[in-house]
Amino acid sequence: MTEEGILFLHLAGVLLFVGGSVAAALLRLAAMRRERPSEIALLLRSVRPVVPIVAGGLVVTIAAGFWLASELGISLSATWLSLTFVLIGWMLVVGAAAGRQDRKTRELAERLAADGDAPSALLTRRLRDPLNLVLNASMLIAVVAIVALMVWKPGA
Amino acid sequence: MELNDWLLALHLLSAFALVAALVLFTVVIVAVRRTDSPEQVASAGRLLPVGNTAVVVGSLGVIIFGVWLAISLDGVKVWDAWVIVAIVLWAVATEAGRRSDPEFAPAIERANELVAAGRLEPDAELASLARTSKGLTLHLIATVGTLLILVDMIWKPGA
Repeated sequence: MTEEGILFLHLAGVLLFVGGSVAAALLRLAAMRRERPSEIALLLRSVRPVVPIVAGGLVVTIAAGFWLASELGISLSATWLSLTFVLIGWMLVVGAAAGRQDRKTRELAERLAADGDAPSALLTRRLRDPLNLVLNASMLIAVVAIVALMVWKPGA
Repeated sequence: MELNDWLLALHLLSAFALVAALVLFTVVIVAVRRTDSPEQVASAGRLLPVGNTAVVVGSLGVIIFGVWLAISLDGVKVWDAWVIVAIVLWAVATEAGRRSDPEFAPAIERANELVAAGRLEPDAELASLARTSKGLTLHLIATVGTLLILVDMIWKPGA
């Protein structure tokens, strides 16, 4: 495959990964503004089809990124690439932890929706859990930081 | 940190917002087409303003910072064939996306009316309105157009 082909795969992966992550974050933010468990459950359920887009985008991004670095003779120990790997690792760990919390919140919303659909203080508290919000925000900050690293390549 | 680096970063972040909006619209369209429940259609419809904000920010950011970058970079001219192709594709994708929105509006309105009237059972007219093939086609044109812009950016035909 030509360098252009690999770069296309890399950028298409990045667009799917970041686009999917932002869409998931927007759905979650929309859920925070609702009170009825059925509506919250619907919004959190809508995140599920986005997950394969995010995961697939990340796999393609990383695979094509390694391939591109190899083709272009870029050292994997370069500062900007090392920092990128750390940030990707952070997003994987935090994404898994925050995703598990969100799944439990969705299951609670579904139970409450089936049981009268009355607003619940517990559900609201779960949606607005400060730790979960900080973790989700840190992933968006990491995405912006990775874009900055790719553009400015500090240490290159 | 040069101006061009900033323009590229803002161009990329705008592209992310645009793709995020397309993903969100796809989720809404799939959700609306898979249910006959007025409540669920109305709930999904409430996501559209979020997507609309992201798509406006993304579309405008992509074209403004992209054209600015083309003017600012030494080796690129705004009248280069691949830049013109990108602008045309952007216009087609943006217009297709803009026209797809009103295609789903009747379904959202019908769902809101049914919910307001307390009629929460599945509704045949709602199902028919939500499964608009024109709206889906326009959304697909916008999505494919955006993908083609990426192809054009990488291979730069005529450069």
